[in-house]
Amino acid sequence: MEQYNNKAIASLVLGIVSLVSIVWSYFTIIGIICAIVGLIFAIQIRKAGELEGFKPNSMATAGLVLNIIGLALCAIVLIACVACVGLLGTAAMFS
Amino acid sequence: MYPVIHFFNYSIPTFGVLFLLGTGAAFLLGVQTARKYSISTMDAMFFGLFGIIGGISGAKLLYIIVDLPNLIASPETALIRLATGGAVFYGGLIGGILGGYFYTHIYHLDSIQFFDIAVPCLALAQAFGRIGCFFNGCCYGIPYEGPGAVHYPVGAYPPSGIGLFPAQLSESAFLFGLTLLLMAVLWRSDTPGFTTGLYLITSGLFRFINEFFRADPRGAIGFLSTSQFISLLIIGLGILFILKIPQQLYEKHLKQ
Repeated sequence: MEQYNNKAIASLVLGIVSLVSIVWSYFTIIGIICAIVGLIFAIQIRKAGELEGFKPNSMATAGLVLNIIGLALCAIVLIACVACVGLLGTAAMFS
Repeated sequence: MYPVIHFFNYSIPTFGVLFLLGTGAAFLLGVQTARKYSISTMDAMFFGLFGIIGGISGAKLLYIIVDLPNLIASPETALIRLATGGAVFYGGLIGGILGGYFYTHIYHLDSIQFFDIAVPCLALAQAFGRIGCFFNGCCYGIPYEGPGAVHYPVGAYPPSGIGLFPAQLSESAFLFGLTLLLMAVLWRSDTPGFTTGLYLITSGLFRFINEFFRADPRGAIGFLSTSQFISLLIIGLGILFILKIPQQLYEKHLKQ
């Protein structure tokens, strides 16, 4: 249980960091990385709770929610028309 | 047309807003489609989240691979370019599939069933994304002066002053229709993987045809555009799914 508590704290902190990083546009990439790591921790705790039969604490739940919001808001800032940029990029790769 | 929305003193990319709306709608639809195979809402959500995580990582990773010579040539701007933009769609697609597969693999779930419930959601998210392209002004169509022709204002990314074929909206309308078709097929089909195959074939085929009506600058491989070339590969993969070959390989080698 101790490792899950540590992961819950880490997830919550990473979620907060990802939300704060939205304010500066250059930091959104850091926000996305934090949100991804935090989200993986939160999902691990949830699934472990389901498989081992314990209820995840409120910190883990808060971490999950904050990381989803952080990832969504960072993505909105970072994402341009990926399809268009993608086509040019793939063309460059093949040429 | 409206590439950014001004909200107080922030400029929010319209494509990003519609991408997010599409993702939200896809997750809501995913909760419904998951009932087909009695998959729990939590598993469906986490599969989607792993797909998104894989997608973002894959898009960025392939961008770095593709753009590596330029990034090395001008290291002073490399960090800013990495931080502010650059994503490759097909990297995102491959990364998303691998991310979703990774989730089903570590928790011993049936990947083919998860792909089946995910494809109607993917089509819905893509449909919203294409509306985002329309507002952004990218992926525009060939000159056309018939019903539904789009006239972009002066200063927009596409050529202004002439009517253009609404290639983004035609693809979006098709994808909304495809979502409904896939939902109907998912509920009636008893063959795992059939819905995935149908999605790959129909979306690949439509993309192949729609590319002839697009005029935006994009890469080409021989006489086909890059997308058409990739569409052919996607159609081939879809046919394999209909013939149940990936399902048999999965059952034999990968299922735990």
